[in-house]
Amino acid sequence: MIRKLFTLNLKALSSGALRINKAGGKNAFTGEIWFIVLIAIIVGASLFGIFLSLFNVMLEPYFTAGIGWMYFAVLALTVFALCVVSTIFTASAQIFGAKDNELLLSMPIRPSAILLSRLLVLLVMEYFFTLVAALAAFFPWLAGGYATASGILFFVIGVLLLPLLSLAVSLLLAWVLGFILSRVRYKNIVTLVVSIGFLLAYFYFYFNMQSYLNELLMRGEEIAEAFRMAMPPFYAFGRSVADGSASAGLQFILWAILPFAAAVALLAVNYGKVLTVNRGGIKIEYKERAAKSQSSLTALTRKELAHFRSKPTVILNASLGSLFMLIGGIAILVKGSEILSYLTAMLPALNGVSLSALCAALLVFLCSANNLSASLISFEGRNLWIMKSSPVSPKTVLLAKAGAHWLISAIPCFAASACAGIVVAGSVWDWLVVLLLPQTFIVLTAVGGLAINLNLPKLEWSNEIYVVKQSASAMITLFGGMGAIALIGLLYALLFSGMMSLMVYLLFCAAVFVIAVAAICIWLMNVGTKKFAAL
Amino acid sequence: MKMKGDRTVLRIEHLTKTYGNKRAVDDLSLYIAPGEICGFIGHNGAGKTTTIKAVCGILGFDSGEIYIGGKSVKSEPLECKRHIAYIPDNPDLYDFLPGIKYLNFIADIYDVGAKEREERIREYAELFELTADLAQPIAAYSHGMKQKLALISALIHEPKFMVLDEPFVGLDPKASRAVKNIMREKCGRGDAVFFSTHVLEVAEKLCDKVAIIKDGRLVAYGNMDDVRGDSSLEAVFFDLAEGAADD
Repeated sequence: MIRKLFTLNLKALSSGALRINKAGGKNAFTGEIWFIVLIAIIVGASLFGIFLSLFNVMLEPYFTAGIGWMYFAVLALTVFALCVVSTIFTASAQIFGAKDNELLLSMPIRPSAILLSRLLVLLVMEYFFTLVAALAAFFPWLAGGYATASGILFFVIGVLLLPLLSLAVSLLLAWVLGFILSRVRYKNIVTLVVSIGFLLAYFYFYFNMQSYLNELLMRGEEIAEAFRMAMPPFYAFGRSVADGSASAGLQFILWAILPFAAAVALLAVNYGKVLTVNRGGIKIEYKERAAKSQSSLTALTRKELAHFRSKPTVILNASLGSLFMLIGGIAILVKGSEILSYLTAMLPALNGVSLSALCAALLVFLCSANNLSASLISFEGRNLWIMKSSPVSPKTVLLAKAGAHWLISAIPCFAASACAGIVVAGSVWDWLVVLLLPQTFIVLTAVGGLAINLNLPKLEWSNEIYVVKQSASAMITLFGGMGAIALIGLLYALLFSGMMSLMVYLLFCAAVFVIAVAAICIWLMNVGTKKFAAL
Repeated sequence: MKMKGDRTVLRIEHLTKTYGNKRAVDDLSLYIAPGEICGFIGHNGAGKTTTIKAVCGILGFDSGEIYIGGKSVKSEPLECKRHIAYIPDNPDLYDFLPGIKYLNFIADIYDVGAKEREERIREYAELFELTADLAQPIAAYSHGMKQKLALISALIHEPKFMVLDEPFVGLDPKASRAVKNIMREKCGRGDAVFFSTHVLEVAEKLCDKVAIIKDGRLVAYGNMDDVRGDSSLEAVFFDLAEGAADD
């Protein structure tokens, strides 16, 4: 039974990355599996690259200073943070909020079987992240000649057990979050603030890694002692692998298994109750207000924005770029010269490059993290009948969707561009590139994402998170945008840098974006509207 | 072909819709005149919802024609939709909006003025006892409350033609009676209603006309008295179903 439920949950989690044509049968399903594997490879390879560079930097200083355990403690901490951040909301949706919970409870299935099948799905996700980070730490360790047979044994055991610890914490946090949210009125704001807090803490930690390393090398013993006291599971993991310590290994095994076993046992006993508890809701009193009429285009755009605002997971996944644009804009205004000199110090190739062109390029990169338009057709889901039975043309519907994406990206981008312009722009051309280039890219992403979503709609979903995180159109738009930016950079470095300045090249790119936007708009108005009508 | 001087609210001519090799609707023709309530009856999978969706312009069709007030659903879809109110069998509404915002959204889509929408929302929300819940997000609504909200949104633009797929499912007795009264009142004003139902007693009492569909084909259609004869609608329905099965 657990196996059947596990397969069902796994399919639900991965289903519809592409829209499965029921007539397509097994071939369509196999195609979808391959697509998911491809995306997993891309994500895995990107994370592997980041972690590999991190562990390469850390290896020698730690082992030379005699605190090799810290190398693995950092690995364990990284895996722990990554797993908790990436699974807390899925844990909340899968374990506590799955829509089929009541249906399954009505069947002759033990609640513990439902729970275990859902936990296994989360564990699959956590093992993926763990494996990527573990391999990135393992290879430098092996190549550096520090690995021992017992160390490798504890490494393998530790990597297998690490996700249990993070899953136990994810479960606890998901439960606490659900408990708090059931008692507050502005659930979305609280969820958003908590999520952004997590994210900022993670990035703060990541970007300060170098200073922590320096600090650690200078005050190694002192910090190591503090680490040992504050985070004993990670210390035990580090000691067991780096020093081959059996007692530390045993300690870590207990640290991983006991909290997980306790969490599962507690939940298994009470799972039926947890799922059926009615915490009630806060009733919002209705007060009649004077109605205002507005055009159908405005109404549709506001509807899209309301949908966007209502789901923190959508805000975090489909408009992360906007958040960073706002933070970046303020940062450049406050610490502009410091940031830019840091950047040029990190990348010597940037010396002599126009700072406004550099800011424009950075903003375009942040804009590519916004892929909301690639989910807006899919978001219609089971509500599609409302649009299709209403007297609004598909053209208006598509315009409203592209407009919503534009509003969410363009306003923070304009603010960030203005901040950057104030700090770095010296001429009209500087202002032009810093304002124009990101805005043209935003419009391109808005219409491009919409066109991709029209071709790859995912209308069967139970939670928006599956659309923004796992649908083919969202992933293609995100990685396609980033790939296009990488290609533009590569083309300049290899071909155009000798022919023109970066400023001229970027303005040329803006012109290319405008032409691409025009071409996609023509497609949307002719073929796209027909595709929408045929959905 | 559109008839000259067409005074029908709905005219379906030789409608055919296939899904792959299956003919969901096969050469179906019927019409509804102003002031008529037409019940649409058939087993699950008989083709009721497909026909209704085609009438509302939600679903394309292979051949035939559908006219709303003399205008073709194919060539003038927006003009037709302006006069229709459609309620699906399962009212999936925008869960992320509060009830009142959903009603205002629909009013904007149908270009209903501020004053008119205020009055209609007040009237129908009170009728369906939903006023106190209008500020709640739709996600917090029960199935019946969603059905009531969908009904209010359908009535907000004073449609000439209502198309309802299983409108009584999930409604409490009071709301069911209110819906029946609204149907009657609208037809008294010259509007028309086309609705599907499995509750034959309701259809028998409420409808002027009845259309019975089986395997995509219309097996009986006409005024209720003519179709029913001296028997009951239930007896006619099962006779037709079994007769068709014998064929």
